[in-house]
Amino acid sequence: MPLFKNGRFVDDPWLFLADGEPLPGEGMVVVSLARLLGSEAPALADRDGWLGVSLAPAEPVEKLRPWLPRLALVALAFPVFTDGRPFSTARLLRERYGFTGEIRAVGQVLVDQYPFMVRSGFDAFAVPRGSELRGWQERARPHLVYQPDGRGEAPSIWRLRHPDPGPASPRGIPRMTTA
Amino acid sequence: MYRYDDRDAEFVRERIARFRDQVQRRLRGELGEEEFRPWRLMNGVYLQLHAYMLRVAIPYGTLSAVQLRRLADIAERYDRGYGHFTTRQNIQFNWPRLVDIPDILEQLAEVEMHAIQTSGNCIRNITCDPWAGVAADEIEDPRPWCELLRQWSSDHQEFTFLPRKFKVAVSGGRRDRAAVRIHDIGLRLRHDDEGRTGFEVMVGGGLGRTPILAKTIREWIPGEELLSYLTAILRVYNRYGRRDNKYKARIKILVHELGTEEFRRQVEAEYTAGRRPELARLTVAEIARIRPFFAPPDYADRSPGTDPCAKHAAADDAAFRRWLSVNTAAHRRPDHAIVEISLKPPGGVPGNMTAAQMRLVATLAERCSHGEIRVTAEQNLVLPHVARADLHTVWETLDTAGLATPNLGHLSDIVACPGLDFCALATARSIPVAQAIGRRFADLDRQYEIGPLKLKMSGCINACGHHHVAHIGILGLEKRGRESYQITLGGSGGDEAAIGRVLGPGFAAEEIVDAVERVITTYLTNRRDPRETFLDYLRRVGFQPFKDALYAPV
Ligand code: SF4
Repeated sequence: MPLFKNGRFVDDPWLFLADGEPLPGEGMVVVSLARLLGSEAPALADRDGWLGVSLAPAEPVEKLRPWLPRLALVALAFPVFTDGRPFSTARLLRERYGFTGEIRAVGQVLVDQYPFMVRSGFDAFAVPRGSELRGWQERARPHLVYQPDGRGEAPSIWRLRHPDPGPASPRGIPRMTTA
Repeated sequence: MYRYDDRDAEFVRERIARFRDQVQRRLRGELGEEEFRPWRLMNGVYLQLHAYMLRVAIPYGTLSAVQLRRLADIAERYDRGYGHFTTRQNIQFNWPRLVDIPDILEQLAEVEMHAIQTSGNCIRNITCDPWAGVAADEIEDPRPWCELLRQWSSDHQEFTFLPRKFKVAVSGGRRDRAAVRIHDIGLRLRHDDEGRTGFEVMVGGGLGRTPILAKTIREWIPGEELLSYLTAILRVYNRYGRRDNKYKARIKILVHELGTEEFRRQVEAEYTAGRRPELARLTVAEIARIRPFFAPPDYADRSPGTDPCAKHAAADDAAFRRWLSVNTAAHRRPDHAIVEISLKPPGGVPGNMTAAQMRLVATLAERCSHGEIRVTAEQNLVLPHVARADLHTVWETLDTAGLATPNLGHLSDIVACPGLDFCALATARSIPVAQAIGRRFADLDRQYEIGPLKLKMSGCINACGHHHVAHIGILGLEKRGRESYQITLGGSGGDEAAIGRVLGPGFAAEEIVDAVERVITTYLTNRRDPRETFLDYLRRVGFQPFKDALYAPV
């Protein structure tokens, strides 16, 4: 599957393991959450080589917490592109848990969603087979946004407007006086 | 009014360019309908029964004369010479071609309008009190906050693929004129003891198949924390709202299934963990930037001593006086009035307005309302700043265009969705039924005798016509291939919000007007005195007399 990262297509060094597949002795592998938390957990923890996990939309990211220092990749699945749960998951990983590894979108990943994904914290995109690859290079660009709390390079209008907003006053926002 | 700066304008232009690209890929067959659908919806484009429909946002219901004139141009050039105002402060055009839509959006952008997020499973157009900034009972103008929310919710990175649509309403009056309790999030602006601005937060209201009123989960959140708090609500919803069943996907079901207490606990936990000081600082700065746009206009002092209203009233101009007492309301300035423009002429299509009427109102607003117009959830327009001295002229002008029907808040001020004449989801027609009821009850003296009454109808269970919160609600269904109209009674929006109750089996299209007539007759014959309103009567005696009148064997 073509992998889009940092604005271009790159080779994918990761091996995604199906649940029944034996764990190779070395190499970069991605396992399911069930496998990560199951009986193989000690083997996975001690194993040499980078480890990644893939998460279905309904699987709570909270469960990954103890594992995060050990993980270099979290793959978030979009079984259908209209399922927006992975956007929240990605933000929690980046903003709450400070995860700095790769967050990869897998499944039905559309170029039109790229800006939303990047701003939520995704930085790698497994582009489904059959997608127009050139379209990705042309369209996967940041654009002007309002929200100040996104990742990526999209410039926030609010930050541009208020480069130095100063501290929020402890007295809050006084009532509007117009009368 | 709010005016775009260069960045707002660039944001909208860039968004149109992206949509133009998506439309072209769709037309070339590179995007399938399924992959195209969310983008077309998020840009306001529906695929209806006969054609595409474009829904344009009128954020928080505020419109300038220049913008209304542009809507007239679009109605003429791309529709059949009219537009349809909806119950959510939007306007719909029914016959645009898909290839023209990016051009229409550009023409809208030139006057600082857009169709962003007027549909789709995202945060929809923010609605508010149509009398914001002018109501005599106002706590504070909520529109700067609505504008903040408009910006914050546009192209939100996390909340654009929610389980279902998400509607937010904000009210700043002592009375709630934004029906906040039938929204996914309802906000009521309040001041604390130190005069700080904040909000009571209600969650989980909505109509449709399962009508529920929103519950308060926070008595007061300080203004600068609003966005962090809303982020927490939306995050809980985005993560845990149901996605397995479209009819259970609204936040009201999540709140209901978790229970209000548990939902509140989850939101508070998420809020505490996810608070963003930068969001608070930028809210303070941005609100300070936006507020001056909503400063009151420069009202000329119009001394009431020279008030021609008094003169005409004395001159026994009965038609004018009727209009004056029914279609105008108290302004915060005693020498001014709020004027409601009825889009419900007898036999008309509720909410429809021709291009010529739009231009006339635009010019009138420039002359007599500081260039400003409002759009209401009741599918009417408002001139918010009319000097009392100008009221007679305004009335005369509106009357020449059929816009002075003095029926505001009365039976023929009917709210109706487009129904089966246009809507792909409809199970029955609503426009012809609304027209028939409007004609049957056209007599104004009879309407005044009946008193304040809200009749609303929807063409399917989705309830876009808000029939659940009408005193008399009509829901059009389909029973064995025929249209069947169900009557609900006792609903109400605003402060006394209540969901109406279904009375019994539905009525055929030929029977429904007579059925409404029987409901009205029951009330008129049995009320204690003319001051007892329909709703008061119903609340006093209950549903039985109406059931007897509608279903008793003859
Ligand atoms: S209530 Fe039903 S018929 Fe009416 S506009 Fe909404 S979806 Fe269409």
